[in-house]
Amino acid sequence: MPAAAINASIAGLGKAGITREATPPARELARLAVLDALADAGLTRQALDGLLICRTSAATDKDLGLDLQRTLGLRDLALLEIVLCEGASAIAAIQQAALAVSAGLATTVACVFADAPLVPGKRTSESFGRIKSPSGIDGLRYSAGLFGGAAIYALAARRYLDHYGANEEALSSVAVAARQWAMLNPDAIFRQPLTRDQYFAARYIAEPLRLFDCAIPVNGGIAAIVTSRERAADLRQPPAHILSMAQGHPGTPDARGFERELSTGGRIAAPALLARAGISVGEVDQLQLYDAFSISTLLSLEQYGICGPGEAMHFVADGGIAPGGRIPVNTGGGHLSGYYLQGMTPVAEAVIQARGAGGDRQCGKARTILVTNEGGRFDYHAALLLGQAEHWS
Amino acid sequence: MTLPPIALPDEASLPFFKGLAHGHLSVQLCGRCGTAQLGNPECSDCGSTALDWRPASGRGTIHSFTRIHIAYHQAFADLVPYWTGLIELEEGPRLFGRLLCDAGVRPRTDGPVEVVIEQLGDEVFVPNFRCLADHRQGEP
Ligand SMILES: [Zn+2]
Repeated sequence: MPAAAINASIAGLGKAGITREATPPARELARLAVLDALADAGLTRQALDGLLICRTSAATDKDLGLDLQRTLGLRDLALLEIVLCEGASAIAAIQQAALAVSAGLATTVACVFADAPLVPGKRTSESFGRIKSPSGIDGLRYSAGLFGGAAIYALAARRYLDHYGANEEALSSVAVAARQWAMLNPDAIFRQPLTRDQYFAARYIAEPLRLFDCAIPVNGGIAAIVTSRERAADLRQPPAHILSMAQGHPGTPDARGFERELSTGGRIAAPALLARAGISVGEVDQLQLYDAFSISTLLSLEQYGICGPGEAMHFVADGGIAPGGRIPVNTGGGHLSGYYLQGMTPVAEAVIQARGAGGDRQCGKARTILVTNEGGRFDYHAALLLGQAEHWS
Repeated sequence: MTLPPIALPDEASLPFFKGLAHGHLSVQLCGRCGTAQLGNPECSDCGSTALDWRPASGRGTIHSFTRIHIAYHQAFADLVPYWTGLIELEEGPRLFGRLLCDAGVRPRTDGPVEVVIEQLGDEVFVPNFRCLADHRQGEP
């Protein structure tokens, strides 16, 4: 049986908040983002028959749950679900929406993520040091003092640097490139120049990761409207076609002989993603990668075959991912200098680029864009190839 | 003293935590394929349920490490900055543990460690690991 064809596009993009200031709670940000996405697409809420909700792994139904449907006043939905795949949730939701639209289960689906970790009087580390379930052997991470993503990604960064005989310069180049892009993006949080000296002068969070190796937490929400290519063609914005999609979840044991920290789910997703679109990686014009920590960018470049194993640091040090480099990567500044709304950050930038709406940061080529999401300890990975409508008609 | 969040034993890992309380680190050995592992209901390699807990040597190497500079939890407020990491036991499995370093000794990827079981509360024991002096420490 041949693979079923995906007939789906991202036709609307909405945002709310995306600020370091206090905001309403996540549920309200999600509501505003969905309404903004509908307005962006030129749709009313009556057009929606699907709603897929993503939230952080520490959030509960009280923060953001299925009752978002009622909050939005949506009636008679054909699809409603909370999609939980940690950092990979946003793309996982868009994939599910695309499958539902392609199979005729729904016609127009809003996928939304929102989070409001910044609360006046509360330290950011309280929000990001949240504890999942301290059960079994993995629960030892907390008594070992490994809280939050930074500690876990620091272990990956240390392993990577030592495995390939590199030093922290390898990470600094990622952070500096992200800032160069962010300076071109009016919506980025960090827009002032970042020199290598400033990078190294910043405090450590979890060695070898310094402040600018880590994502910028914000309060905000982003929604994407997924519908068929035909419907998308009649809407207000140039559609970003979903060319292909894949996931990869390695389940790598924590034991000798395995490199859980060096081999992400991208290794599994990459060949499937490219084969389904019938293209080689050389035909991808830009990469919008999940870069909650600088090490993630290096690993993704290698998993997707842009660079060989251990070569990404040289590629990046040579300016390969900076503006004017070999391939544009995280053109909005990514999580590091743009803003951290988990999997929706790279999705939003890809849609903006595919529309040609990137302003000063718009890249000459945006025909085919790779978008990735990453979660857990490199356990969960989801990816999309988005295509510009005029090129992929 | 504030306790850190303590791992809650599940059925498959209960013998591990009981072993710590008796002063030893233990690993599961698969009776069919011999794979050593930690806290699995069935063998991660061959699926056999014939897993037996055996005392581990307590020796291992550092798979990776970090020094944490932020007190995410009150229990670590007085320790910041502290070394911690992912330890590969001599038998093969890896687990998280704080790294204890004597003066002049720094953690090193693949450097040797030995377990030091720390009692944090009445029935709370956690595995920490002492970084052993290492002839490779002095190398550039
Ligand atoms: Zn076995």
